[in-house]
Amino acid sequence: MKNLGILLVGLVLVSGLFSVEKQPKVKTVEILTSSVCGDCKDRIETELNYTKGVIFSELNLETKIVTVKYKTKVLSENDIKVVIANLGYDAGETKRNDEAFGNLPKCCQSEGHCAR
Amino acid sequence: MQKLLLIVLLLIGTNAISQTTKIIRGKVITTNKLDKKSALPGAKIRWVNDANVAVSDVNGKFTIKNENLPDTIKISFTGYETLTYWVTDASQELDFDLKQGNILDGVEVIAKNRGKSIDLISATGVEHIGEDELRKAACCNLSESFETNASVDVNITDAVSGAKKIQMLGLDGVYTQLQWENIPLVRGLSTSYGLSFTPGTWIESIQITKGTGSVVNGYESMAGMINLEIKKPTESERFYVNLYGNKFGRAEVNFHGAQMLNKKWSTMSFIHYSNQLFESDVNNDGFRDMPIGSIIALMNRWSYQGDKMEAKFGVKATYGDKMGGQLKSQPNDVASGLWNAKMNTEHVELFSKTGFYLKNRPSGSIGLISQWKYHHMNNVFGNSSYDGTQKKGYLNVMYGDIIRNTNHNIKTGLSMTVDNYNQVYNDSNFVKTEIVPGAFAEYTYNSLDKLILVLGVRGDYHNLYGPLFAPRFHGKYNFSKRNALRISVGRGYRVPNPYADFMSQMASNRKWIVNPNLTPEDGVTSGITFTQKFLTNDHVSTFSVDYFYTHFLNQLIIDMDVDPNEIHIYNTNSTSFSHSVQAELTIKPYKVLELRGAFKYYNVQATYNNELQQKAFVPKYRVLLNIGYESRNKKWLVDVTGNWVGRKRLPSTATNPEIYQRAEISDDYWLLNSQITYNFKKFSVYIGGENLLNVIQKNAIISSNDPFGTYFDATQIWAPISGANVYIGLHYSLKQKK
Repeated sequence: MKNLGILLVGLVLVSGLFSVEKQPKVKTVEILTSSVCGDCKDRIETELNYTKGVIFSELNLETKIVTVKYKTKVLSENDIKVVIANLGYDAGETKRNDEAFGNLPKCCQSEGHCAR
Repeated sequence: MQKLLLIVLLLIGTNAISQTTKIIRGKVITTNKLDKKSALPGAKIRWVNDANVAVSDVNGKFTIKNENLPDTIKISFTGYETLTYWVTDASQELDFDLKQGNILDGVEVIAKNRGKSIDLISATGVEHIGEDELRKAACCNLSESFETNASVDVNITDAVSGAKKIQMLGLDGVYTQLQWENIPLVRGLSTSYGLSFTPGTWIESIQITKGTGSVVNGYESMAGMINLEIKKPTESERFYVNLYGNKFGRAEVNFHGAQMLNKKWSTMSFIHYSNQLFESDVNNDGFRDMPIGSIIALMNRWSYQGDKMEAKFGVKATYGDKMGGQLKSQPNDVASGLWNAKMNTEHVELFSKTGFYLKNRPSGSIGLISQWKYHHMNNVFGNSSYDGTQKKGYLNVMYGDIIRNTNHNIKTGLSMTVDNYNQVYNDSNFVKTEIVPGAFAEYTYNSLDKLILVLGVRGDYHNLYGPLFAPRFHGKYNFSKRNALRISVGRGYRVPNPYADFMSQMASNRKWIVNPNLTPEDGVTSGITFTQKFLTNDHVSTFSVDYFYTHFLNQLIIDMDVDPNEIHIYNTNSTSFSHSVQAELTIKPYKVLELRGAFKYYNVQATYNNELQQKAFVPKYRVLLNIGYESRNKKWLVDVTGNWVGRKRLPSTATNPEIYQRAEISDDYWLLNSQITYNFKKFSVYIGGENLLNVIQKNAIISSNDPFGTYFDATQIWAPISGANVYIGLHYSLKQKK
């Protein structure tokens, strides 16, 4: 009986250990971007939605935070930041690709001067 | 001591409040086309999440409070592009440089919305249908663009031409004024088939106003006003292709391309081709359910943005050639003994819109609209023939300005319409020239967008019918930030065009008895609308209810109740009215799901065959249900629309021989449509179905086996005449580089 108890506790512990080690298959991250307007929102969401492994992405213009749900087996949070940076926007601590930034429409480069 | 404590407490209290209330200071300027900066007084400043508003002073300066920082600030001024900016703290002074926008655009789009929306700001209660909503019903032209909309009903006119007509407030489409970017669209000879000549893919958005519209656009809108915004060279795709095909053999191709030539000039071209490839007869009456043949529509438009002026102009041309009637019938083939209908249309139109900025008055502008049109129609229905030509010239000059500040706005101008008609119906020839000069003035009082009153007067002088005087009033008030109450009253007129207006009636052997001295129709429409928005799970839902009453002082009656083998067309000033009630609820329970339900009640009565009764073919009750789903990654779109159409009164056929008699009240039925779209990165594919419950009106054509006999009538249509339809299609677009 005592042994059984120990066994059970052991099992729980082991399974607990496993669940800690095991990466969840799907993860949701929130990344602060340097987006300014509706154009930027379209650009970032479309690029991410058609990136392999991304389930969906939504950018809130008021907070500039993009929420991304993705498959951890296919890509990492850092990969997502690189995708955003390559479009010309800062993504968290990842700095924007300056060349891509230069190719953005004028309105997406200067804050507060967007039509929408 | 106690008092002192209270004072201290109060002080602490007010201090606490003043800590959360921030005051933001800023300045609004504008840079003109010559790079000169100047202060912009009278600009509106408001918040997205806060009720405080402000207006910039003589030096362009403003102060505005906010209790809910951080928040998005919006700076707007009529004729300028609206700016938005995310404000996190009140420490810095904000400078805004407003760019001069398009003074020509008739509608001030308050929020760029791609779906369907009713705003809470405008005085007239404009319902906006955006591109995404339009794509829910992929086929094919303007008449099908209202499928998911409750304010506009669409009906098939007859069992031969395949034409559809719209209805607002239960009143025939002729009482609704149709225009595109404020240029008249469906009018005169194009009344019957005009809707099918505007391909759906050309349309960027649609604005629907119930009741009378602004006097600026003419005396015509009685039941409502519909404005289309066609795709613009500066904002559209560089290249776009649409392909469509359906089960009944309809194939369509659409191409557009836009090009920015330089900073000032841009151009866009449109090509549309559609063809009904083969005949089909689902209801087995020996007649084609849809006419075979094709439509070609072309348009080329130019846009110029200069330092002192802007201009839009272009040319539109349409050619339509359709053949309906009995299976295997050919036009002009008398020997076969088959009944055939031929509908041939040619249409060419030149249009221009010019706007001038005024040097010394940044708030003032002058706009000029002109249109030159040639429309020719040659139709043969069995043994009757019709040939009509319309030549039209239209000119509208308008001056708009503010009086002292933006609270008072005035629009005034002159218009001139010249229409020359030459129509031949069988052996009778009708020639007329209408010359209508007019003048209008519209004053708008706007108190911080909360209370808006619009008073308009318009006087036109018709060379054949004398003066037409149309006063109109629109008012709006917001009880809170989330609702709006609107009231409108206005008088409108319509000059009838015998034969061309009732083209669909030619699909019968009824004898036409037309009063030779028809006079303009005259009516007063008043309405009240209440719109309430609320949040469900942080998503905006809308409830709206309206009541409209149209009272005709003079109406043209198309009376099919006198005799089943005759059609009487005459004016009446006896009782004729329409009461319409509509309640609509749009709920967004989740981000991905939108549910819409609408209920409509129409009490439309006039004196038919000396008896006051409900207008034939107008159901008393209608219901619309719509479910829209968009996956969070925007790849999947699913749309299901159900339309319940109540029982309708039908003209009496009691005096016909028994086999040619029909029920006097129709059945009610459900029309079910659905579409699924999948978006790839650069293109999208869709598959859809119409009339999925396979509703078919049985024996729709009276005397279909004897189409040259007295009793033949293909105009008694109250339900679909062909069964379930399935279609597929694709959109491909390449965006412009900016």
